[in-house]
Amino acid sequence: MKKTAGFALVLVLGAGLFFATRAPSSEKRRPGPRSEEPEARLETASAAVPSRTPARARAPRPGANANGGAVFRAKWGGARDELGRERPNEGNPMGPMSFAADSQGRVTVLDGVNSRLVRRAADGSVEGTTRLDVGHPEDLAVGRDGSSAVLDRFSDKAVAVYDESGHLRGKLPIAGEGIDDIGSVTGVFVDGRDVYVEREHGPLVKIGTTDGAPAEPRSEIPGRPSRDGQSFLKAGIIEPAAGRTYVTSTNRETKEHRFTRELRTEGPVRTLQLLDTDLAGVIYFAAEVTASESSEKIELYCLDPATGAPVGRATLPVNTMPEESFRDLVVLDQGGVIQALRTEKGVSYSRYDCE
Amino acid sequence: MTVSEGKLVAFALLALLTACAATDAPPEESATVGGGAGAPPEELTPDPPPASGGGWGGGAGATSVGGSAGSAGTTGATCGDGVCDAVSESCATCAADCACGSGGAGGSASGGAGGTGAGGTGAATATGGSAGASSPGDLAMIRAESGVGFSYWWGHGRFLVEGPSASNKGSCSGSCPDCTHTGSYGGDCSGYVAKIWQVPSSNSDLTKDSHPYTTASFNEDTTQWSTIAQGSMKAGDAMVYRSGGAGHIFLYHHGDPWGSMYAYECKGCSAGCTKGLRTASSAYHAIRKTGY
Repeated sequence: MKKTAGFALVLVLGAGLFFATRAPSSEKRRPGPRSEEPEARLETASAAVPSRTPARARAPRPGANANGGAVFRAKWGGARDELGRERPNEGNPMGPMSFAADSQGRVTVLDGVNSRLVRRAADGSVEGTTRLDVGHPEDLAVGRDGSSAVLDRFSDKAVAVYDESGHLRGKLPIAGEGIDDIGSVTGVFVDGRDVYVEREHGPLVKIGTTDGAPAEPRSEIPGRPSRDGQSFLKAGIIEPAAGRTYVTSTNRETKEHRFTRELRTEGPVRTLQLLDTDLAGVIYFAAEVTASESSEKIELYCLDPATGAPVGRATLPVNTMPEESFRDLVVLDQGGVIQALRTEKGVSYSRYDCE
Repeated sequence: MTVSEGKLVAFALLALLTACAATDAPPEESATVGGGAGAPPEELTPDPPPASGGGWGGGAGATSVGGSAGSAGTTGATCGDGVCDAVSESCATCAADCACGSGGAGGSASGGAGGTGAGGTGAATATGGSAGASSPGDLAMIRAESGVGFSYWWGHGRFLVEGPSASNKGSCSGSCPDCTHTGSYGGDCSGYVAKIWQVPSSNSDLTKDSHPYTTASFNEDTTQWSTIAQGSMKAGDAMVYRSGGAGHIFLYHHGDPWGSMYAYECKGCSAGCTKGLRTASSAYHAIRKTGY
């Protein structure tokens, strides 16, 4: 009896010791914001996507603003450091409808009321303006070569492409193969040298290049290209009242579906506001949510590029002014977002990071 | 080995197996963020990618025009198969599957988040589905289509049933009300909605210039229209805001997967009267014409 009991005890203790020493490796499998180790599961889930440091684990960058810190502000008006707003009696109110950030941290604002682009340096100072050649500008995208693409669905019915110095390179017609209804366009995007317009927040149709030449033929991609070149992304609302939304990723190289991630917000979803990535591929997804009967908020989520698992989040204020907008949130290359928030006095551009 | 010795060894083996199971268990999904209301986010099974579903206008598809109920987890990329595949189809490219009519695109979408698990919700829960093609709202949308392409004409409302031509659409320049209009057709936002809604009832001739109400009128409930919940909007409803002497109104048709709205509106001088996807902040509220 004693001999057998001793054997059993040794077996139990041995097993405990064996698994105690294995514990660290099992921790590696746990998905989540662990910056010190790549995630084994992440690698096995999709070998094509390199492991990255999740957004939540990032150390604060030197000089980064606290969440909500203003990068710059502008009063309403037509001066060089102001931005235009128009509230007609019996017409659609308009302000700066879109903006974009480039790899140097500069922010270009589509100041449609004043028919211009206004470029702000990383420190917020006005660096220059570009006079626009379209009648009703609505959305803006910038390319890595410094070019700008400006969407005009209803007046010129084209995307105007400008070089970095503000010279018009050409106008790309929107209507054509893939776009029967110009009103279905929900944004303009630049990927490499290619200029795309998005149809109903779904597929993107290539309409030309940043040198101003129309595309022939006009090819399609299934969603928004991630900045790391790995994925195409798409999102949608499943059930507004229940706060059910989704993000889908497709492997850019193989065209294979990578994941579909359901995200539940903390209240009914009104609209989706953002789907983009930073240069490392971290996905930024934001939804406008009804927090209570009289209050709204924007829930921003940072998602792992390989699995879509949330790795951080932040809460942002909602634009409540009546001015129509195409793009109130923009992701920075190095991570984090800038939000345009309109008030009766003007508009502020503030920085937020997932936590 | 006695019975109690055997139990001891069995216990040891059980402990060993339990330890094995614990360490080899699949990793937990990260549930600390993103899982609102305590619900952890779930990764849905792969393939196929989701179709568009939901949004304000996503169609409570059962009664929408061409809006087939979302079939859970199925998508199809073949136009005419009754399934709207959001990757390659839309109401613009495949009206047979992705209804452009009232209650529209979302309603015909195949199952929300697609794949399995979250599929099939587009039809069941999204709002915006409407009655058949002959409903008052749908008929209003047909009238609204006639106005698309005409110029913005401040303080007016006059259109043609057949729609505009290059010679009669008119033009607008400047900043209204100090703007210049040329031509005999067009309208501003409230002139257009009054004409499409046929309010008052005498305002039924599309070709007769009239402007009976402003946004100040539409902003207040009357016996002719009243405020509704935005989540219950359907084709033919409108959204209006009025603040500080300015205002705008547009007609709602249906939503898209992001909750943006297909709107008919006379936007302003530079855009004219349009149909297209747009957003609207909470400064707007939804109204419905009585009887719609």
